[in-house]
Amino acid sequence: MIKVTVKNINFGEKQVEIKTGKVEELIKKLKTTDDAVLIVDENGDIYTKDRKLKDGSRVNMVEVFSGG
Amino acid sequence: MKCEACKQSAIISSSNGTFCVEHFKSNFERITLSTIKKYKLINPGETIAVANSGGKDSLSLLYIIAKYFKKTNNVVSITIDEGIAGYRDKTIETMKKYCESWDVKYKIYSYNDFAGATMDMITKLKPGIPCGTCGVLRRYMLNFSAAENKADKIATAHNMDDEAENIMMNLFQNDFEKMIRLGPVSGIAQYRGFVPRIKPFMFISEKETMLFSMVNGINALHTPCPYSGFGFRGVISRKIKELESEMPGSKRHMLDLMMRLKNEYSDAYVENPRNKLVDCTICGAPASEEICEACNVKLQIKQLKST
Repeated sequence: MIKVTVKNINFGEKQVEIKTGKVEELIKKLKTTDDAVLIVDENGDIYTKDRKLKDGSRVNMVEVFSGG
Repeated sequence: MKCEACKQSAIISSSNGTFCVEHFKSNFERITLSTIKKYKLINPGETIAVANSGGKDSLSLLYIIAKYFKKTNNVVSITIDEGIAGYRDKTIETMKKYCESWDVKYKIYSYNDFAGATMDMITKLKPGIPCGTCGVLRRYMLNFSAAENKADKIATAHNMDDEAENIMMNLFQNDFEKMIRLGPVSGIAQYRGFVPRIKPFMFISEKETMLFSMVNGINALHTPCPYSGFGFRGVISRKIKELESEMPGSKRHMLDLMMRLKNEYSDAYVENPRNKLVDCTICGAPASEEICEACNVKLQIKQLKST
């Protein structure tokens, strides 16, 4: 199991365990969809859904929303 | 995933392609400019009022319009201040910063000046979902401010998700007339005082617009309106994103279908006497009834404030 720390403006911070390490699995585990979020690491790198995260990774989940 | 243009690591994969940072930026601008060209959204010499909330979408739009059209067109930024404390006041500060940095003149119009109440006050006076009332006032004030600034067009940052939401909402509400008024140029009927609204981002997704602002260092507030997400639109928005993730290209297909319907039926719509516009008897603005929706809201607020 790979442990990833996810930060988000709504839920704050949480640790998520995923089997494959794939961003796609992380998004599914967070009960959202690829079209609704951007996964960005602490260096500002933006991850597509096929990318693999390492154990201990820390990422931001930025929700896509209309307007502003 | 690899960028389809250079094989470097991709940052996005959507119905518009799979790209690295640099190719995403250039492709985003290319799609926007080709939408403008294809639908003749901006013609040389026209005054373009950019509806600018100071959020990520409208700042991205202003960035592109200022970059490519400032030399050939008069560009003015219009902000509607709904009066949402802790939210709009912050985005207005961001809007001012970017307008000054991109050398674009800006104007601010407020609900409080027009209707005698801020959105925060309206939500207290009128229980229920506030988005309908807010939309009526915003559309009215955008048109009013654009006309006051002698604008030929109002450019809004409506994107593919916004348009797909509108299509689905009109479908579920069986509102064919509203459906065919959508598209890169809003509205069908021409009427004095009515400034056409153009949507250069119509073929770009919400995720792409958000990403464009991020990779261009446009430091906008990345939080939604505190009143959003409660209405029908919020439900539809979530469903559309689920659909797009399951079936990539769904949103674009919805838009293509709507454009086919619009091309087929817009002449019949214009010719139908039921759809003729008249002057509002209170403010003189274009209206479908004797009194326009915004004046009705204004009257309602006045009444609620007095009780």
